[in-house]
Amino acid sequence: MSSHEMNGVPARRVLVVEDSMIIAMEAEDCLRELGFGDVAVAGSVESAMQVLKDQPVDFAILDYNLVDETSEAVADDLTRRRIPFAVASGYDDLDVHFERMGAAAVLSKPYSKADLRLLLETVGLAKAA
Amino acid sequence: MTELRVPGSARVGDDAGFAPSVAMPAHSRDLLLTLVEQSRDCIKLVDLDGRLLFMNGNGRAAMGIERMADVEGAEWASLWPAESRAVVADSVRRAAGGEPCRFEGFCPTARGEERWWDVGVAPIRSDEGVITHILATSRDVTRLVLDRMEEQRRREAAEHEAARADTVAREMRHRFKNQLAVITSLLRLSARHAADVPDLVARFDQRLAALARAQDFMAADRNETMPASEVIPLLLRMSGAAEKVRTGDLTDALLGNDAIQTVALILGELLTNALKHGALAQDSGRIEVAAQCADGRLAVTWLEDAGHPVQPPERKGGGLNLLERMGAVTGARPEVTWSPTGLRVTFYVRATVPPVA
Repeated sequence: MSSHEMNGVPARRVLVVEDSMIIAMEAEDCLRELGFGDVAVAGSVESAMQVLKDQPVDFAILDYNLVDETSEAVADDLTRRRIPFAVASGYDDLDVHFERMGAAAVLSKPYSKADLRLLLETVGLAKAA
Repeated sequence: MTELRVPGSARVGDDAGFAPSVAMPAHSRDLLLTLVEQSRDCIKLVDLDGRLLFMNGNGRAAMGIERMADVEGAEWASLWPAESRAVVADSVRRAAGGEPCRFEGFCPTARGEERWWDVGVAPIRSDEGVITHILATSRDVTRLVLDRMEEQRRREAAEHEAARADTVAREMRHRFKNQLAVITSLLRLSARHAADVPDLVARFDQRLAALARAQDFMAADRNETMPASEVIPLLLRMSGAAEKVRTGDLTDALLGNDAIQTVALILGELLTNALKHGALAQDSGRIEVAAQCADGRLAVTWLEDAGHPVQPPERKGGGLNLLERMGAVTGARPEVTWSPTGLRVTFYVRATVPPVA
């Protein structure tokens, strides 16, 4: 098994947009453990856009509320690029809004590694355990 | 139809020059007039074109009309404020067509007092069933209307307050879930880098304490910020390290909630590390913290001076490992270097430059 392949799924690049450093680091660790060797982390819309411009990703997880903005602009950009994404949020009443934004799935905060695994299986990026 | 004039000698109203030409049965006119004059309502007799033929004393008093002659023949609607005239005229048209109606309207008194009126407008028919006049009765419902408006205001204020409380509760739920996410992430990160359970508990305890210190001055409003020059000394004092850790130049750059939390966590890591393995492991050690702002980022420098030459450790502890990863969010990784007398770390968090006063 090469470093680009784990559990038979080729290594994919994932973007995590999250303004909380701790949550971002943990999400990055979880994704690595789930076989996603290439995780880009961005804390703002601007840096997320830069990541997408530099090198395309296969999937993205967006925290809805960033410091002084929402990640909607990133969602629009991902939709234009036809890159599937999930929205993570502590709001319990915005699921419909997130689906309208084009989210393939909604992650309710706090989310666990098991939640992430389930999410990635749902969008076909991880093999069901 | 016989036209009967109400004589000028009528007991009521003659002082006001009441002498309208009103058709009414002669035998009951005195009694009727007495009743009409006794009424606290404003009673008017209007012709089919809407002109005033008669208004009782209370009505005239309310409107500040001294003599009936002053308004006799005037259009009833013209006594009302402009915005009510259409409704009044319409009620006359409907009553003239045989349809009694009712409306509520605002009309101030001659003295300018605000008054609301409940007005009934009904056709009067002759014995032959022909509509000859219109009777308009206005009752002062000011108290009722004011109460109703007050009630409405109170209800709206209560609804507004309830909506505001809902918004705050929703925001607090969101904030709380976000903090839970931070704490669970912190626990899992700590677990990954911990040697064993007691080590995990010690590290997690220390990090939760750092988060709690940040919580004390994180603003309720997510858009509120606090200058780094206040945040850093406060955090050091709260962690009991102010004596050994001096502050150098500190910028006034503004920190949001997440940046405050990050600074608290990283200072916590550095302090723990310094106490265990670094400059604060011996009494001779000193530390200086400085902060500058550049490119929308706050650069915090942590400079340890053990008071004697030190060798960089062969293996970095879990705390420093974690620290070195913490830059990803701001896009600038912390720089961890060693001077001959100790550790030197620069880390970055998001900050905004304060507006020039």
